[in-house]
Amino acid sequence: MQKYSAVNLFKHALKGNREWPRAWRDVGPRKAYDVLIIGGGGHGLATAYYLAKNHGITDVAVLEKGWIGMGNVGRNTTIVRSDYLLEPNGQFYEFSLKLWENLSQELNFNLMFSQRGTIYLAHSEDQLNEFARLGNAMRVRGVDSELWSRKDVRKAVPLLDCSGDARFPVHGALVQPRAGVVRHDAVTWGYARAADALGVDIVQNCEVTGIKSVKGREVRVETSRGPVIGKKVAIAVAGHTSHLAAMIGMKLPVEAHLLQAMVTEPVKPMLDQVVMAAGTHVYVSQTDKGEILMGGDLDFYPSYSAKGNLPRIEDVAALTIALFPAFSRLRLLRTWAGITDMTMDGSPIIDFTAAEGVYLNGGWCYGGFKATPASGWTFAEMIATDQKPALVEAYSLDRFRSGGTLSEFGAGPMPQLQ
Amino acid sequence: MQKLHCSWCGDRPQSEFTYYCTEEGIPGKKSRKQDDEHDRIYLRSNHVGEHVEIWQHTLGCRGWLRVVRHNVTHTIRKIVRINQKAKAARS
Repeated sequence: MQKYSAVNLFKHALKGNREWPRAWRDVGPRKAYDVLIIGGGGHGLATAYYLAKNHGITDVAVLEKGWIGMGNVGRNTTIVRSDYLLEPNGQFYEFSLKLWENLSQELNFNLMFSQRGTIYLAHSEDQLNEFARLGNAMRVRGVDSELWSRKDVRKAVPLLDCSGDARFPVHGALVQPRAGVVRHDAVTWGYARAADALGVDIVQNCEVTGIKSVKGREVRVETSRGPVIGKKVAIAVAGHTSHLAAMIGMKLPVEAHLLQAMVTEPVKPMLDQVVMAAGTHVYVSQTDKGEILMGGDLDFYPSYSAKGNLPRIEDVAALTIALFPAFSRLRLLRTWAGITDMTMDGSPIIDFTAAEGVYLNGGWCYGGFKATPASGWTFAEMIATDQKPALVEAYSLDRFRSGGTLSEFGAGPMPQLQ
Repeated sequence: MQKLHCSWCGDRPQSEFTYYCTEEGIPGKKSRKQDDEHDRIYLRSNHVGEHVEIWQHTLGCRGWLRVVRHNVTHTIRKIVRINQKAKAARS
């Protein structure tokens, strides 16, 4: 791997930038590997990277049905934060945020990580009380959080409508200063390049069509590019986990829903932080290109279409304009949707499966992007050691049977409401 | 916007309706064993294709509907009101 540095940048600039090497090799699958990872998204690539880096397992292939960066890793709103109420989630996402903080250096790839802070708006006194509780829960476990008054919010985000007659009056906010955004494509490419440099094969256009696991033998995976044998097979296919689980005869507590996001035309810097609204569930930030990036609720009915509906776009735009009247003159440039694995309690699953040698990582709902490094780290540890790391002990499949569900909002077993 | 046909209100925009769950989540008559209840509440086949779903016309007559819908094309093959017969008998 050629190191990305100022010196190399200068050298290549002299040659017209025509001689940069490939970031990762384009390879076909070999017949057998120690570990096969199904899914070349953020989680799959991170798992491959940490398997090689932390555990010295380099005979690894990542099988991706499309191309790297096509799936949910390139469809999210790039927000990373760790403002969770429940202890297992709080610990896990904080570990993830700590990994994010050093990831650009570790991968030698500029991820454009920007800790610009998340401002979680409260639209009533009760919501502000709830945020005080959430903020305290975060502080108890050593995570940064601040409770802001309306005056503080108005000072930090001058474009926000903080007036008394605003449609959604601002009563204050919970702020996590260390939270922020990361450029999601760079995360994918960074992990792919670093994993490839450690010897991992990244196989694109390779769709898995069947998994055969027989006790005491290696796992055989049928793909669109021929059969591949793996001593261990790891599933990390956000959005399509149920199909892969069906191949090994499992039914999961997961339902596929669509989550949309959208950007406006690019404008000059006008929003420095990530602003999220609790009551209306909309989140807004400005990308480095200058686009105003918005996201909101799910489409609220199951779908694998990867195309969102118009009412949700209208909702998100209307809510954003209610918060930021100045954005009303911007034109919408692009909208897109991602298929999310919505679980029955809103928390993910990292666990062993009924099939020997097959490991499961999924059910990330709409919060999988911020989990990418920690998910890869813990999943790799689980695959390498066959022990479940303490950090993801709670993300088990049997929590639904035992009553140990992890529901941040207490919404009940309704995947669309998490 | 997609329209759903409510037998009481006619063709109405999708945003008036609320999806509740697939038919798998409806309590069965036969078995009330703990394992079966766990499966009913939590597990979903979630396959690509047609599903029988329960919807409500929330911002309309508030009637409950059984909808046979494809989860990729969103094509609705069949839509019937739940308890329609019972209602008709009463009126």
